[in-house]
Amino acid sequence: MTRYFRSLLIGAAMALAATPALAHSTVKNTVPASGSILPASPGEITINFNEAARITSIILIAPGQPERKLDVMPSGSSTSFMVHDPKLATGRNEIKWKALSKDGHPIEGSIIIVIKPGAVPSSPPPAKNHDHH
Amino acid sequence: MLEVLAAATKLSLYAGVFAGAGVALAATSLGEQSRFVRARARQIMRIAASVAMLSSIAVLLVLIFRLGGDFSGPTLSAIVETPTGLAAALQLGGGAVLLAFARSTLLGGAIPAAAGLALLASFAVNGHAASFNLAASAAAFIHVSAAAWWLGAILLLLPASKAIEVGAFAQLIRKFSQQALAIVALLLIAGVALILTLVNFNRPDWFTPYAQVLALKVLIASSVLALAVFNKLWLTPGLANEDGRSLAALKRAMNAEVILIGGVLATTAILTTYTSPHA
Repeated sequence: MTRYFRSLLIGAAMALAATPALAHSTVKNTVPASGSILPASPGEITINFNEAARITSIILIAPGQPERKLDVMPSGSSTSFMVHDPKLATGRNEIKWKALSKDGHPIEGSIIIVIKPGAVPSSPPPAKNHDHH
Repeated sequence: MLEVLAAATKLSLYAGVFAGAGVALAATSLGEQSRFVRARARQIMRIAASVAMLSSIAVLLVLIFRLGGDFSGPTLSAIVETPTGLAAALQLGGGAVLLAFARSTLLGGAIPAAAGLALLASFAVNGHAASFNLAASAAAFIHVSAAAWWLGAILLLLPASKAIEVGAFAQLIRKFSQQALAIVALLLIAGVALILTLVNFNRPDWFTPYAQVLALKVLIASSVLALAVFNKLWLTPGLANEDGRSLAALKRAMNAEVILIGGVLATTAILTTYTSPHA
């Protein structure tokens, strides 16, 4: 009986351990990267996740403007989402997103992009994307 | 605030599902009961099914608010078209069937038991384990089903200890102990397999907040197990001699087990709301 259960335990553990330990989806990177300083609003913003997620809300907080909802594509499950022509204002722009992770947990994060006319485009190290659950 | 509400509604959902499904499964596996115990079992199943359904709706509402709170197309489709929606459907469907058929004795109580399994399957189709692979989902289903059976059996044994004479109760306890050996073994095997899957022990910093809360859950679960071993080895033998003191001590121990299982469910609600296996 003990041997049977030990074999069962080892077999179950081996089957389960075959998959790497990841549960919530996380943002792999964004283009432009969060913390970027650009001379003008980018043509599009891309958010890349490590695994499929669904973005449910994405809003822009720009200086001197009311919060604005942005349209994101695609509307379903994907690892990559795009916002076309976000029309970022001069100054500090925060793009706040919320999504449903593959494991059913809500996750959220934000991307900061500073628009500074005449600035030389620069982006920080990739680790500066902010996402959490 | 929304996180606190999420954890509270999840705890309520877990309590409803585990009590309702557990009593349905235990009533089927333990067989013929006295009229008083049957009535109490139906009462628990009906109340628990109602709690599970209301909690499931509350969990969904809190989730919608955590996803932006605007009931927009992307939010609603993110719920309906994903395992989250399937889990909610199993909770609402299973709860409704359990509520409607709690009195059914057809095929030895197969309908309430099937409804209970549907309720429990909701934890296997959505969540940390379900996002890994089918084997992890199966392990989660076995784990929650065995845990629910254990809770359900205690919830049936408690009223039985008052309603039937000590000799008959001792027989029922013996039957429970025999079944518990195999079911608790499955519970432990599936639990260990899930821990090995969800905690990456290869990382030098493996003792993450997730692992810390999980360790607390294991600690509380171990105390339930220790109490069960104490009951089996020291208190149950006294019942055969119709020892009144053993019966009173066993009732106290079973009440303590229910409270500790409540602690395990509360820890799980915190674990699934505030932490992530890879954070």
